[in-house]
Amino acid sequence: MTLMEFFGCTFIAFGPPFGLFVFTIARDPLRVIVLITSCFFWLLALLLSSILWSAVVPLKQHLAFGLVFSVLFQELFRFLFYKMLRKADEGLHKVSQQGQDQHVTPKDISNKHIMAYVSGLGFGIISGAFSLVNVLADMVGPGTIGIKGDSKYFFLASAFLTLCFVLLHTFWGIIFFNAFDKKRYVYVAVVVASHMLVSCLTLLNQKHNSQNYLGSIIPAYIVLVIMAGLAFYHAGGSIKNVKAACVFNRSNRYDTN
Amino acid sequence: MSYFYIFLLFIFIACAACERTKEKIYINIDEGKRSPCFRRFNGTHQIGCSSAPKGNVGVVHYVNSESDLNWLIDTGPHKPYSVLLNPADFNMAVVKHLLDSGKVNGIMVIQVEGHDDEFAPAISFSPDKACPNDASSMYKNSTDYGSCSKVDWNPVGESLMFQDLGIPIFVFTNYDDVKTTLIEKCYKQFNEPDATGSPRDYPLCAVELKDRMDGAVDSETCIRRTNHQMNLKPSRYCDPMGDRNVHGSLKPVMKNETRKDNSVILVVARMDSFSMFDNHYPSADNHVSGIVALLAISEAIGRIKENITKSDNTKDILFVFFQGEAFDYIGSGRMVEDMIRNQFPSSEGSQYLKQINLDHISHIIEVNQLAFRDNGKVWIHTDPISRSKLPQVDDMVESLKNIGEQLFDESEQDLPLPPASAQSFLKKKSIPTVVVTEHKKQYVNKYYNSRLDLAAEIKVSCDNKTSIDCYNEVSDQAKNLSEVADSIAKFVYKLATGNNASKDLYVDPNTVHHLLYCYLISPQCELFNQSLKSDRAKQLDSKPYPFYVGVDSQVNNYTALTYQMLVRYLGDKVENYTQSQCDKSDGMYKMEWMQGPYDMKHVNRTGFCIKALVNLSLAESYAFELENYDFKSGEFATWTESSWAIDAMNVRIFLIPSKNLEITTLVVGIVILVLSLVGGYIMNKGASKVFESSTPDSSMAPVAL
Repeated sequence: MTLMEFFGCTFIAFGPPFGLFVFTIARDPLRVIVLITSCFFWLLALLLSSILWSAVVPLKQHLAFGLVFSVLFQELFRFLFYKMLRKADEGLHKVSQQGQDQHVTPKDISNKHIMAYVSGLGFGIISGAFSLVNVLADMVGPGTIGIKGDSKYFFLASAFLTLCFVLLHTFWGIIFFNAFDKKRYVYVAVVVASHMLVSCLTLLNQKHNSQNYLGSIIPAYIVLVIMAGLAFYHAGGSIKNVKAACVFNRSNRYDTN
Repeated sequence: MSYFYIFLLFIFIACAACERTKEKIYINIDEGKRSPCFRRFNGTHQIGCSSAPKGNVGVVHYVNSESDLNWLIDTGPHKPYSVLLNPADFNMAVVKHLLDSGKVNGIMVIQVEGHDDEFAPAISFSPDKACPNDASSMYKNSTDYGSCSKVDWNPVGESLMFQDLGIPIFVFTNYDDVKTTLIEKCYKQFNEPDATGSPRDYPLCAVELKDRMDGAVDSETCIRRTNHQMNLKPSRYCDPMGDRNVHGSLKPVMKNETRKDNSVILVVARMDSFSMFDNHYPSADNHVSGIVALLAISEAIGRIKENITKSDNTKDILFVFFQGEAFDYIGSGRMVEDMIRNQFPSSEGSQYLKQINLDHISHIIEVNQLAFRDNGKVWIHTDPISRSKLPQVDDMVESLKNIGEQLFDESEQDLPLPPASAQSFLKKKSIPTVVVTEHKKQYVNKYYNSRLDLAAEIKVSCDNKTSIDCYNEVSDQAKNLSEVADSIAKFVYKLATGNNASKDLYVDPNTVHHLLYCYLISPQCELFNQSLKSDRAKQLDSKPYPFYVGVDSQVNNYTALTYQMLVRYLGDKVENYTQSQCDKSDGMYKMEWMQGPYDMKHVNRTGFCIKALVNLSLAESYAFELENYDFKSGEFATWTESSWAIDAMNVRIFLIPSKNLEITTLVVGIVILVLSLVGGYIMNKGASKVFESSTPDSSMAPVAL
């Protein structure tokens, strides 16, 4: 039974997004709505990519083609979602003011980064689900991969790559939205370029002889770290604040005690 | 999205047709290239194979020598194993050895045609008992002859078929599957112990054998379960085995006439055999040789039947082909019981005909296996118990020996009858009986009732000949069989008329050869084509049909074809009948349209309508018709076959991962999950502090994020 592999990979890929969802999204109806809507927008991007892929018959075998356009469609729909969210600001504001729930504060609306983060996570979760669920479903049987000469790390690599993309989408969301808000379009280019870069890196995995997938995973995680730093910085974080938060937390604990 | 495509891409690399990760994990063995052993029941037991509901997974181990087997049982640390056996090694001793070790949960048997040098062939193998059909033998209660005390008819029989094995066993027939996939890719690459005999490490190559049987316990239980359905979607657990007997006679005796006692000679043969594996019922010696001989006899006698039908003083001849005889005489048991109840023949069209019962039968002549010759002769067997009371038996033996001259000889007189349909009759009434067969004492056939009773073993095969040459060139086996059939035909004629046969009575070796070809090499032959309607002729298969009786859902192919041949050989042409007239007719005669031979230009066929006193009768046990029948009484055959779901059979090969990798994956996953839960909590708490400065209007209230 490879049930252990199944759960291991599920936890690896969806553990972190699950943690984020539980503590930052789930208690807040407005955030849940925005999360689901952003998922929907990603699905629309998938739909368009699929139509294009199946329409252009001669290039069906060349995945690089489908991949490039898929990245472009995703970024396009990220932009459309950004536009929609900004248009909906006023409506959301009203909704949150009428709400009785204490968690729904105007801060969600006023702090642009929150919605950027939520929509980025939405993109990440749904793309992660779509890339890994097929693999997970086939993993439950008695066998593992390898009889046809494939690497035994296929499942592990898939899970880590999926995790990487979930988090990347989250950070891209923050950077992308902030770039439009602040009109610093160079960061839009950074997001699109890094997305394209990481996606194209995964093309390395198709090399038949690549017995491990480190060639694509390590660069992907380096980009992830860079994007995390950028997003942190854009959202107004700094090392000083982190230190302050630690101190605050500690003092807070003493207070409650 | 982008890398969702990449995963698709992974799959495209290996083979363009594959679509899912599954295809990279599993190699499926297709349905036509493997055959399962399945489960059957009688009144008291279940026999055969079954797997766990989702299949048995075992590490593949190829046993090519004694040491491989010992290694598996003494060392093999990765149980359960699935063992791949050469044809020669699949026998009771090895199977028992494997089962007793407790390390084996599946067996795969190699049976690849034309690779005897690579996979050692079995010198002898019979899954039947040493004393076939022992439980329904006429000597069951006899102290002198019971349980084959005089001779084990089938000495190589190990009764493997009648064990409740409880594990799945499959036969593999494709060379590539066996050699490339199982042995090279799977066993040698991942599993084979190294030269010092130390086992290999994970990942190991394993096979999943799925052979899920629905029925359990015994016939009575599973029939009851089938009949007592409490839910809205009833399912079947087992079905009674059975089919139809084919019978044909010469003289029409109408309902209002009287049939004289001792006025019918029964000339019979058995039509079925079995083997352990589905769709592997070649049955060449046992009983195609008998079927063909009896058809040849019927053809010879049919040609001069006026000599018999014109006179009142002659005896009628009833030709019968029994089905289900390998399973405690289902067919003959049924016919005898029908005769006792005065219900034979009972099928439609026979309301015009006078019934036949046991008193009407004067003699029984049975032809059994005939393809080989023990000491160059064909042997006559008689029943020692009834023989002392019936002087006619001696006359029959003498007469047959005279007609057959050097060819026929009598077996030892104190030997009981070998397993034969005639036993069903003799159980109820002493009737003068001879059984003609190839063996003097034990069976000569080393593959009785097995998957190896192949046409090639009795020298009926095409080798490199074209199918036309093969069909037309009379084989030695055909000459052998026609000699035997010729003598028996003359003997039967003499019994019926009291006169010696004229020169017109002969068996044509061509006919015999054509029949052998049609039954053993390809039913898509000219003889069968001529003897069927055009629409049915088109459906003929190019591979032989199974000779296994099966469950009684529809008439077996060979039963229908034998019926058709008997109609042709015993019947008369009806002149000036069109096909539609022929199809519509009913009455005491069966009418069959046959498309006939080609004309001179080899373009069109000229069909004809044939009428004959030939019919089918039920070959189903009374056990399933009588209310409150005691299944343990042993009076009637109680065989049933377990049913199985459409997806009950499956074979796939794959790797099983090392425990280390599995556990590592799981631990990493759990650590990441826990870390992210803790991290999420802390980050959520600290978020307002960390990101405070960028918030345009900072309220002092602590808020989420």
